[in-house]
Amino acid sequence: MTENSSLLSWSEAQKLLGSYGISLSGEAVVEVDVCKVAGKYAFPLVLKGYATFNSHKKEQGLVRLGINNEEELTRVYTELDVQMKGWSGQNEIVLQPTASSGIELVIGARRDPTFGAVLMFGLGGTLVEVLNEVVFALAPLDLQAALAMLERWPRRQLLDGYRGWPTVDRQELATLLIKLGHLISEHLEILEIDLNPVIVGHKGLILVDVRVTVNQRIAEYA
Amino acid sequence: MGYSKQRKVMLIAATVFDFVLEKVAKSSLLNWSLSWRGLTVGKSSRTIKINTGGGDPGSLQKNLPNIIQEYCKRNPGYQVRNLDVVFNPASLAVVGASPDSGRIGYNILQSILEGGFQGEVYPINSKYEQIMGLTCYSGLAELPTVPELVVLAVNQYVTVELVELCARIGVKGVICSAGGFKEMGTEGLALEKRLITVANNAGIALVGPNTLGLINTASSLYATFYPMTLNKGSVSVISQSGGIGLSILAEMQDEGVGIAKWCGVGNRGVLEYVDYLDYLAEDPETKVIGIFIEGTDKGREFIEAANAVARSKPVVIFKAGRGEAAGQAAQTHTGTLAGSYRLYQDIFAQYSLLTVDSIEEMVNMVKALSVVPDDIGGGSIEAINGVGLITHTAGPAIVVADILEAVGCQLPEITAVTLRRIEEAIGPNPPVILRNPLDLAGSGFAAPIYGQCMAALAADTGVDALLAIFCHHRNWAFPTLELIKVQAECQKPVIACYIGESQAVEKERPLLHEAGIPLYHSIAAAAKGLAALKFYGRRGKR
Repeated sequence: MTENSSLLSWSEAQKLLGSYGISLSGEAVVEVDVCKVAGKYAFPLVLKGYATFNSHKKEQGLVRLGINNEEELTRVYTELDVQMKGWSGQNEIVLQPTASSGIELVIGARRDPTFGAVLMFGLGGTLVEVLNEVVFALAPLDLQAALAMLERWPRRQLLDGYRGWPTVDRQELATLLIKLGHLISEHLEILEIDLNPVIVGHKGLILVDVRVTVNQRIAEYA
Repeated sequence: MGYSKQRKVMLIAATVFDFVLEKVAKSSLLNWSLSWRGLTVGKSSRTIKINTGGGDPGSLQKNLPNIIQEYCKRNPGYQVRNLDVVFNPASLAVVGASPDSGRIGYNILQSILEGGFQGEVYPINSKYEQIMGLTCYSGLAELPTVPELVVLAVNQYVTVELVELCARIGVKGVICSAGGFKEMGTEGLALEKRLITVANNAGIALVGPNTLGLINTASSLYATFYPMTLNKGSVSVISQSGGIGLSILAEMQDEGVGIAKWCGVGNRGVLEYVDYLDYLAEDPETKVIGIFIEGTDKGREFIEAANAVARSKPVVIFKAGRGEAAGQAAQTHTGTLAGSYRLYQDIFAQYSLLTVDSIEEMVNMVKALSVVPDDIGGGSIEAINGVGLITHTAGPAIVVADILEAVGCQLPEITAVTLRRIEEAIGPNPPVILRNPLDLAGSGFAAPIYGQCMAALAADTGVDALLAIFCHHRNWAFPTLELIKVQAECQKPVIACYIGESQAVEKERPLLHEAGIPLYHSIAAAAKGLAALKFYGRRGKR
């Protein structure tokens, strides 16, 4: 993290994205509400420790999958809470339904020093940087340009379903890119946004994780 | 949010601007470029458009600078520069002119004089009375008139002082050869900032600093320190590097591709790519534009300008610098993966801009784009899908077919009618299978038969363009006249690929190029030329 940039908390990111009609999966919860909120979703559930200075949740054991009942839920919540105690920054615990398996995409936005707002889309997951199967475009995009961006992706055949995995609704994916393009174009304080992974489910895209970095100085000014 | 506010202001400015300077008299607008605080105001307003009210174009032309300067005075933030002053000056001065051939000032003056520039030329150097037979003046202020263009062959410190002098005496165009500016760290950057401020305040169109200069073959202006003369033509080149720019020129000369304008943009202190692009877009001498770019911090404007120009004129871009890192520390995958070269390439693709990976490829493409007439086939060039390939040797046709298929061209099956015509030309029982690619083998050695078969292929309804391959032979003539006849009859683009030593092949070039048939002596190069035609045919006037 550089001097002037910081990571938004899950709730802040959710609020920002939500104002552009982009919904993340799940929500941040506090201890007293955890069981009540869990009632909205079906077990098995996922709990995640979302720390604003920590970018690798999985490696830190902060992602806890397969929670089957309220008892486990309370226990895992407490464990995460203890683990993150004393960490600097704004830390939250996020409750999510378990995402189905499907293609993992990455969708991102960035304020580039040469081009200004740009969008990225491609193959996501933990191997995103190794696979390096992404395509960029100048933002913002209209529908035609967003659909064209999908067609420029060298691995676009994955969008049509692969080995029984759900196919991607191109319109839905394009709309997400359009919204993200407007967000980065209109919020000068945002430096980068990663949505990774975005899982292609049977009922549409599931936004499992997010990182939003902001320029602290501009954010204060705005 | 700050951004939305800023946007609104820009849009209002653009609206007012369009309102004031409405309705166009295109002929008189050619040479002005405008920017609003370095931001793109809107495509329509980057080139100034003025209502002539049906008045006399001559007096309008005269008044134009005043109208525009007046507008800019009333609308702070607008800057205006006349690029035509640097490409088409009526008079020029070379400061630092020298009788010593080792000096930059000697070579600029020699280049201008030997290039045949028709306007007034004033050498300036207080140490001499005469240089190269011309009266030498002691300073800019001592000249009998204010020159339209000043070429500075002095160091960076004197350059800044002289641009200040130019601003005071009303010079509107300056070329700054000297390096030692922003590329040299803090002190140079400060000098360059001073230079930019002075030029912008005075409305000076300033080329460079740190540039080889520029060339306009139409006005025989060779304002560089590499004396040369070039074939006149319709390809203009903008290069960030003098060396690459020279290399493109040399390759174009070797390949018989004519040049309209050439410019080394240098540090782009005042005039940016967008300014040159807007100027060339309206330049009647320029039909095709080649760009060499290392990088710019105004990437978005560059892309938008190139996209706008490419609607009316083919643009071919060579971007170098794959190793260039993203200019900002990244904390996300998006940031890490957003390398500069990659962004350029992806965004070029987003805007359907034609890119190349080498100087040779650029020249292959601009050759076809400039030599093949626009009106060939009454505009049918807009849809090159099927290519007819004729050869007397199979291998080259396979190589060509591979490249053409990769860019979306097909080699259609020939019709029964075409087949009959070919059989009539070469006689019964040929030792080859007749199809497309049409490999005539031994029957194709004789130019007249080659020509008849090609005419048949050209008449085929599935064929939109032709590529003809022939290997040089000391006793058998090239089918040059046949190719010319076929193109004249079928009005479809024809590309010639003559395989052989360049000496032997080159003799055929003037005739073919004159007739609108680009000639290549490399197989892949010919295919690239056709690919460029295909690309700009498909891109069309979006």
